[in-house]
Amino acid sequence: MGILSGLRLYTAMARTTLQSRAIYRANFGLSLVFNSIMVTAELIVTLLLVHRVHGILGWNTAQVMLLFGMATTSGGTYRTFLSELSYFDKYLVNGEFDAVLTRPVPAWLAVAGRSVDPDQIGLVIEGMAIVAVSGTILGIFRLDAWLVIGELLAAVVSGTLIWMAMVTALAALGFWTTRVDTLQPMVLYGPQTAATFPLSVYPTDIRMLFYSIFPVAFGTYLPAMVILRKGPGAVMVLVSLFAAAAALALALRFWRFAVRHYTSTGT
Amino acid sequence: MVWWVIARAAFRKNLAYVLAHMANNAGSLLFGLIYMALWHVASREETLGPFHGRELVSYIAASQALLWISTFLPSGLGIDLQVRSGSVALEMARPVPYVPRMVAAGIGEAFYNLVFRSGPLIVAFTVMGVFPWGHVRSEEALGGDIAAVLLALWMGVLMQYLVGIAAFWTMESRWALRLFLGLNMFMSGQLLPLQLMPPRLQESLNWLPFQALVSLPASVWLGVATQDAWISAGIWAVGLYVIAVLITHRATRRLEVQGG
Repeated sequence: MGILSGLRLYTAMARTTLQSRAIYRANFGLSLVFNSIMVTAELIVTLLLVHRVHGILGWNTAQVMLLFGMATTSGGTYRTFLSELSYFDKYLVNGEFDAVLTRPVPAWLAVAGRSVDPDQIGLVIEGMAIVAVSGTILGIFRLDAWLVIGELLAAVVSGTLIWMAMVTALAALGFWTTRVDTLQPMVLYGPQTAATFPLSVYPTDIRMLFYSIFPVAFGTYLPAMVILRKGPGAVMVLVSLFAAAAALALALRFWRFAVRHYTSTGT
Repeated sequence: MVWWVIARAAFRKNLAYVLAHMANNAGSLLFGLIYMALWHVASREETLGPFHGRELVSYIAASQALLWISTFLPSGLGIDLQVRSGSVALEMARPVPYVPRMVAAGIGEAFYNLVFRSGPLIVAFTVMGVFPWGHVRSEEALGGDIAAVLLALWMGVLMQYLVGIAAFWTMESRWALRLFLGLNMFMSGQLLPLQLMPPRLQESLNWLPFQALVSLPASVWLGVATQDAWISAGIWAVGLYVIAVLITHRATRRLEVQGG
């Protein structure tokens, strides 16, 4: 199936999911508010920490805030459009995946189509607001604003692709382990938290994890270095995009391999 | 004694998932390593507040272990599920008072976490030489250390109870859990010790219940806890239980059975 026809199919399924969720409007409002409280609390703690120690390894408070905003935006985007794969256990434990396999669409797309979660859109909005505020403080929009906005958009795309790759690989692992939730703190939440700080603070062996198995470096840290003119040239944004796309392609390959090894629970 | 039987049952129920929980512990360890690395670089072996050199790294190690007994307990102690399924009517009709029964079950869950969640982390951090054992200098100090941990566990269970009981009004309590986790992240000192916050903020947070979940026990282990923090925790330990009983009394009057 081509990318365009896949996208069309995803949009149609996503629309149905959105319609079914429209009856929970109050829940949507509450989720927006409380997600916002969570992000704000995390941001305050992060900024207080960096401010208290007068910056970390050459990164000042506003720069870390930008990193935080970028990580929140891409994390929110993936959660809005692909969160269902994070809860893939239920498909395996309850036997729901059998029904998915009977559909005339690729299994990954069928699960992804159920994923649209409007409750998470608040994360995207808040992440973008944090980027806008920190970017203004840092004055990154003063010179060549369109170039910086382009770099930021590219960073959000690579960040989202990285999360999609990681959550796809995690769900694929579920075909053998059955439980996906127990691995989430290590595969998703840990790297997500790590990505909100400059990766240079971590010891080499941990840092290498974020360039390879959990490649969050390509979603936030490296693009942020480019945007803040901290070393790598603009080509690093393209390298990050390529690495993110390659990670997703690899994860999808692993997913297809895993699906071939699926055995129904019979329930 | 019935409370003991309930707590033991809650502890044993989890034994079926030990292996899954061990995999989950790897994630906690990664979180610990991330924050320890951060503080290691940030503190640059200097003195920050009452912490000297690597003590901040030890604080984070203690915090990661404490989170499992005070914060990462079953969401709302499962009360919201009882409300949604309608089984809460049966639970409340049992000949054992509802609040102490749910709290006893929560304590059983917390003790399971102490052994199988915090335990492996403490072992790992001890092997790495960052867990604050060095501050246990005497029997009196050990008594204080244990008392602070038990207070954290007790208050964590009561806070989850309050999260769960919110479902009596809103049918589900995920929002309450998010609110609790958000406030807790900031106010318990789990990532940033309260002692490093601006003085006025620090003083205010010392009188809120969240500080007893992480800040108090971690500070006690490091020998930097204040008397005010102890007094505040003592007051809230009783106060939260009274609040739980009062709210439950109101909640039972508006009990609606959903029909399962």
